[in-house]
Amino acid sequence: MTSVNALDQKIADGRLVFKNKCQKCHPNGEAGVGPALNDKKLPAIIMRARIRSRATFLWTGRMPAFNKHEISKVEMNALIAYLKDMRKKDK
Amino acid sequence: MRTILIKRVRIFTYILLCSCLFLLEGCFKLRGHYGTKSYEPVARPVNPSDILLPDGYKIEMISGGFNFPSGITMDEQGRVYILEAGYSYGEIFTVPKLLRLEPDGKKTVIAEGSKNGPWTAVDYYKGDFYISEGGSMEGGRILKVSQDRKITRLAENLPSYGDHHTDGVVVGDDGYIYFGQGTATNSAIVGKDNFDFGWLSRKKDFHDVPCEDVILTGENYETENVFSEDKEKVQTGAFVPFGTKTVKGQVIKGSVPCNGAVMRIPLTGGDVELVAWGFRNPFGLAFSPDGSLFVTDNGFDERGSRPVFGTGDLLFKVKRKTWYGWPDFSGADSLSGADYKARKIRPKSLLQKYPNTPPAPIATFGVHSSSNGLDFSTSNAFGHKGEAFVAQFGDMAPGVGAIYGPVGFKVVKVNVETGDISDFAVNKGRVNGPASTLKNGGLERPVALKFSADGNALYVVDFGVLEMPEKGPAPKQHTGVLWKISKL
Repeated sequence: MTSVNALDQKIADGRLVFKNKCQKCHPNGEAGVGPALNDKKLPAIIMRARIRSRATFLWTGRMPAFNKHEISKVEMNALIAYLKDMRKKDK
Repeated sequence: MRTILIKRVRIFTYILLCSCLFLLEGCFKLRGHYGTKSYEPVARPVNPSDILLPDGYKIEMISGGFNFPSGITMDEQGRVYILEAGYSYGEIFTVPKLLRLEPDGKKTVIAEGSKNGPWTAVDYYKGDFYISEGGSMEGGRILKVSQDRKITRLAENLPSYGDHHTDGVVVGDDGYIYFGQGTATNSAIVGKDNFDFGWLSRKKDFHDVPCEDVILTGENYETENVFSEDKEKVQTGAFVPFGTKTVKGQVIKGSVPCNGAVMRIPLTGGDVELVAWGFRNPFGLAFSPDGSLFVTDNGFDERGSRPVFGTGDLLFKVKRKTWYGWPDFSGADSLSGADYKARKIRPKSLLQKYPNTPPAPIATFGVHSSSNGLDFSTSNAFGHKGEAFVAQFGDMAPGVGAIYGPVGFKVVKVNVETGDISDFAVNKGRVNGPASTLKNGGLERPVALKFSADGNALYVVDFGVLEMPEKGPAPKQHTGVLWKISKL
């Protein structure tokens, strides 16, 4: 079980990953040159798959894929936590 | 083995189903043209309560009815001065003006310019005003307006006839006036988009000028000849006039003043000196509390002969004599990667050799956000001391490229240590956008901002309504507003 402090830290780490890799196309999770993320109820497995590979949505869309050198496994976990938190707060 | 295969098929089916659901949600609807091609004033309701701020802050309207306001400064007495641009995209010319706001709400005209706008920025220093004159018709200028209201040209003939103008003026403690000069084009190739803009028909030979000698790769781009009725094709290379081919290894001589640069001149006037180059449109300039110079730079558009997809606007700390990457990089990223491909064209490198490795930006803003005006909080009373505040004019899509939703139209703050960007003043609602689209009385297009001398209030200049109908930008006259944000 993750403690509240650890989860907060994970979300904070994820926020920085988001700002570096995702922000310019999805400003604060809203629509930009990419679609909005804060209103999508996608399971974590789909989010991870799409971030890693364009094949996930059958090569549709312009979003690039990010390999493990660009977003490490630890950063990916933090990013997913942040994306879930963003969705929760936007309700 | 068979179990693994079944598991994989199940995962794939699950992903496929989710993908279909995702697509069916209608989340891929692109934003189209909007508004009407009219420049006439429109009613603009103003309601500060439609704007969301962090807890503990309030916003109020100080004055309205400005005609294309673009800059702000204050004198020693704390009196506020507003710049009216005198030009807007959409090729509409009015009279550039420097106005003083009086305590009774009246506006006193301090100076008026000629048909050579837009006046893009103003700074006050020891009794005089310094103005960046965009120079759409006669070239860019740095103007000094003295106490007797006399206008003196401290610099002129700046290469400012193109897409982007002479921008963000700020006076440093070193006795120099620093200013930005935007590029003539989107990505160094003069093309049909520049003809559509309007300036290419006025200045057929105008093109970008590098600040130092550059060696070209010889990439040329084919377009229809906009000056010929028989639709013949012409080829155009980088840093040359429309319809001029370049070859591999060709040297383009650099000179100052140049395009895509931050430059400076002494307060008393004199030769223009290069500070840094390789920017695209270095719009907002400000010194941080520790005396470092920062600049906002507008990213590439998905338009013209060499369109570029997905480059955000950038915030840089300016290092002297450094090249910042235009036209081949966005920040530290080369455009030759697949991520920046637009209309099935991958932007190939135009320069054979780079002056230096371009520095990474401090922060990357939303693509097409038009992150413009810049200032730093200097007060613990206001809070966020040392953080940068940026006015985001908002996108001009679809002219600059396709988007799924409005980008910008707000004020953001940036922690310059971490690059973390967060909203500071933004319209309330489920989605972002200008007040006229959201049908409320909030922010329209913030273009400039400035902290009061005591640092206790942040003034935000809102350009007003500018729509993007099919026939090009349609700014509405006299819809500009001045906002003031302070602690409760």
